[in-house]
Amino acid sequence: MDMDGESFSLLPAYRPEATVAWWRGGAVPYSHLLASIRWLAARLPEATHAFNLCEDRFLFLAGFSAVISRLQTNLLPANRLPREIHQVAKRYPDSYCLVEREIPELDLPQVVCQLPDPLPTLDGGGRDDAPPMIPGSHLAAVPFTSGSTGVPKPNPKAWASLIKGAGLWKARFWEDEASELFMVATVPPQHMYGLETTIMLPLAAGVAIHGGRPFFPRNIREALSTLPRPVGLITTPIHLRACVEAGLDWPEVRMVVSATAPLSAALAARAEAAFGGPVLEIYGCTEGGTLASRRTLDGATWRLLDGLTLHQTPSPPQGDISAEGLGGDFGGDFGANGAGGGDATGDATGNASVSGGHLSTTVALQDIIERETATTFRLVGRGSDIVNIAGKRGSLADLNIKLRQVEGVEDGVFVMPGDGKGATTRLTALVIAPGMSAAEVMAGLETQMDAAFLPRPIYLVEALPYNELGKLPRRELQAWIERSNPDTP
Amino acid sequence: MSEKVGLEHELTELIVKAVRLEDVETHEIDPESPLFGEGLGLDSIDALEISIAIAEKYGVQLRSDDEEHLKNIFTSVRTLARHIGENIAE
Repeated sequence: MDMDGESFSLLPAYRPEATVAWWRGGAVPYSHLLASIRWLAARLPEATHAFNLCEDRFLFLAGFSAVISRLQTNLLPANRLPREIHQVAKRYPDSYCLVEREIPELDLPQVVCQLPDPLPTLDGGGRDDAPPMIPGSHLAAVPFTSGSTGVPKPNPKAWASLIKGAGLWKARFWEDEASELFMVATVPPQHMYGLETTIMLPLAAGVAIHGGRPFFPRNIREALSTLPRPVGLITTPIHLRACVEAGLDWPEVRMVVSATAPLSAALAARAEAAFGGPVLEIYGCTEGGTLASRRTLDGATWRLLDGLTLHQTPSPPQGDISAEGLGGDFGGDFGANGAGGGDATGDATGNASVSGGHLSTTVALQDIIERETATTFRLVGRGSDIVNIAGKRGSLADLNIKLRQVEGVEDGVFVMPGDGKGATTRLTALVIAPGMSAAEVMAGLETQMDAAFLPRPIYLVEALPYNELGKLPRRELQAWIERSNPDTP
Repeated sequence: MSEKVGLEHELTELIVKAVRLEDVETHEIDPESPLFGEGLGLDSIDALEISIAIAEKYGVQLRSDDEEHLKNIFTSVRTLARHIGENIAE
C-alpha cells in the first residue's frame, strides 16, 4: 500500500449533521463529535502514547480520536490487568492512561476521559469547520495480543491502513447503501474486531454506533430497540447463543456479525430466525484485521475482502511450539475439529498468507486452509497454539510458561478440551504441584492471566504423559482428561 | 459460613452446573462470598452462562446498566438470589 506522504482526514466520514453515535439517550451528530474531540485533545498531556482503557464506546471513540489528533498513539491492551499494563508501559515510558474513572491499582499517569453534558458544539454547527488532516503513516493504534513468550505482542496500525480497512469493510457488508446504519456491539473497542467495526466504521465509513456496551440479552434487545432503523449487531457466538436462548422477541436486525470463535450452522440458523437478518461471520486476526467473510449458512467458503490476495506456500514449517502465532484470532469455523482443535505439540503452523488491500505487509495465517481461488478458501484446521475464548486470544505456549512460573508448580500444561460443543469451552490444566491444592494453584494464576483462560478445572497429577520426543501429545492429554472426568460428554 | 435461605440452595447448584465448577462442592460455597475475582473466580463470560441458565429456570432475564451494576448483581449468591426473587415477584 502506498502511503508516502499522503494525509487523511481524522473524520473521513464527516458530515456535520449526520449521526455518528447514539449516546446519553440521543443522537450525536458528527459536529458534536468533532467538538468533543477538540475539547478532549486540549486536555491531553504531552506524550507519545496513551493507553485507551475507556469501556464506554463513545468515550473511547472521542478519546481515541483526540489522541490521534495530537499525533499520539493509542495503546490497546488485550485486558485491563494492571500487571499486564505495567509490563507494556515499560516499553512506552512516555505514556499515560485514558480512563473513565481513576484506577487506583494503576501506577501510571491517568487522565480522566469524560465529556461535558451537553456535549461541546462547534460555532455555526460545524459547516465551515473541517476535521484535521492526519499523515497516513501516523501510528494511530497498537492493539496487543498475547505473545508466545509471556510478553504481550504489539500490532502497530497506521492511520491509512485503518481507514482503508473500514472502506473495504463497508464495501463488503453495506455496499451501495445510502441509508444510515446503526450498530450495537457487545465486543470491546480495544480488541481489533471491535476497533474496526465500532470505531473505524463511524470515523471513516459513516456507520453510527450505540455508545454503550450492552451485555445481557435484555440489554442488547433494549439497545437494538432504541436505535433508529436499520440496525446491525456486532457480536460473538457466546452472546448470540445467550440471545437465542433467552426466549425474547427481537426487533428486526439488518445484519448480525459474528467473530472471535467458531459459529455452528445450527446456532447461525437460530440467530437468523430470531433476528430476521443474515448472520455474517468474519475471519480475521489482530495482525491483519478483517480478512474474509461468509454467511455461515451459505457454506464453508470464505471470501477475502476486495483487493486482498491469497498465497499458499508449499510446505509448512514443522514442530516449533515457540513460533509466534499469527492469524485466526477472530477467525471462524473450522469444521469437525471444534474449538482449539489440533495438536498441543504444535505441528501445524501457517501455510498461507494474505496481502494487498488495507494490509501494509503480508499477513501469515495460523490456520490450515484450502485455497479455492485467489480470493476464496475453506478452513481445514485450526492452528495449534492459539486459543480463543470469548474474544480473548491466548497462546498455549505463553499460558504454559505462566503456569510453570507459579511458585510450587513443578510442571504443568494447559489443554483445550476436545468436545468443542460451544464457544464457551474452557481450558483445563494438568499440574504437578506437590503439597498444593487446586485453589492455591488457581490463586497463583489469577494475577497472571485474563480470567477467561483460567483452567476449569485444574487436575493435580503426579506425572505428565510426555512421549519419547519430550512432547505432550494432545490426544494423550485428552484421553487422560476423559478418564479422570467420566462426566465429560 | 452463613446459612443458605430460599432460592440460594437452588441457585448455588445452578451456578456450579452452568459454569462447570467440577472441583467445587455446592455446600462449600458461602452465599455471601464473592462470585467474581478472589471468591469463586467467575468472570463476565460465566455471568452470561449463568444468565442463560437463570432465564431457562426462572424466566428472569437479567439486565445490567453498566459494569458496576453487573458486579453488584453478581456480588454473591445472596445478591443474585435477591435480584432474581425481586424479578420473579414483579
